[in-house]
Amino acid sequence: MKTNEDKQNESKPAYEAPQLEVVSLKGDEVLAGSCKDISGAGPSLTCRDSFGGTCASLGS
Amino acid sequence: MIPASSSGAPGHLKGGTLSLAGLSAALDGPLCPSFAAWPGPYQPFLVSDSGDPLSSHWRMGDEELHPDDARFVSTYAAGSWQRGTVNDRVLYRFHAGENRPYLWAEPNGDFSEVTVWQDPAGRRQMPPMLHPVDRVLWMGVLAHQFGFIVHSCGWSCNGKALLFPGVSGAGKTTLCRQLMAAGQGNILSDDRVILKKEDQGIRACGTPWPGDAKQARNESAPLAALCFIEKSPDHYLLPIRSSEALRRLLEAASVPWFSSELRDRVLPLLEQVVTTVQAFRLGFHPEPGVTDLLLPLVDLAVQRD
Repeated sequence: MKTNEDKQNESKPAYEAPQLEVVSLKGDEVLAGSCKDISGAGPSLTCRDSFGGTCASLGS
Repeated sequence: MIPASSSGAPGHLKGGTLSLAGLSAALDGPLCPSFAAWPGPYQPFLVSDSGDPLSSHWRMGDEELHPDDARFVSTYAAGSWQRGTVNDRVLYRFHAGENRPYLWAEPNGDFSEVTVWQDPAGRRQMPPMLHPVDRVLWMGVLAHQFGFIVHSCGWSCNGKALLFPGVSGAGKTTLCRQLMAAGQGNILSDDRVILKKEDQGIRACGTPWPGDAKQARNESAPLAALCFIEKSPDHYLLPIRSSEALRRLLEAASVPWFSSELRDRVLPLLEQVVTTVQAFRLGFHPEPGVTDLLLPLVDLAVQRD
């Protein structure tokens, strides 16, 4: 015969101990650290990205 | 929201309005030269005064209030911008490399008003509010309007949206091209999608910040699923728990870590997304077939309505 305690345990999800997880945050990617993808309009809008484009000369 | 008729000096709306995710930012004339001067991806998001309530008003500041660069104290430094203070004023300083700033932005507490100063010596060219300036400011506006940006590809099909978050190199562009080749649905964006909480649930919205596939649509759809992409020799779609989805979403979401006030508005939204939207690991390789895995997700969401 099941006790009240047994019935309560059956209805509860199994306990999971909290675990520490380290998340890798890429600030330059998600916080607009570089200016990738500006191109194609205006007299000199050719700013491409911070990886070898004309970024610095455009000032962005 | 700001009533359009109540903000700023008469005629400020002659500049233009940036409209995305159902929100509008009015730009004063000097901040919004002719629409033709803006890059192509911005075009669907630029509108003349619609008369709708504004979420934010971006205007030129008075010269006597121009921030003093010598007094700027940085509290956060990204590659091309900084957040900090000048005396007690919170300011965003945009610059090129080690150069002097080309633009300052000072938002009010809820980003409904943003005051802007340009510095020609910093050499930024017009239009002045292009990325990264607008994206940084939109992070603040969105945080106050229950939204945030995700580094992701977004696809809408049959009135539902799937989101494919991923850092650079994860395969967003590759997947985007496969979806385009399949000829079904539309790409909202191949690089940045806004998720916005609404009464009916979470909505995925296109942005003017595309990736290499240059997809930028001013469209939106209810979010049906998150699919975290992985390059794989096989195609697969595996459900994951909300805790795993949160860990993965944190890597791709533009959480404004630079401001505790903004951060604390956005983090609960991430939790809400992963607890209300189903999430998967999507393995794929650059060959046809991945769309066959995704269409049933869309169909299921349509059937649930």
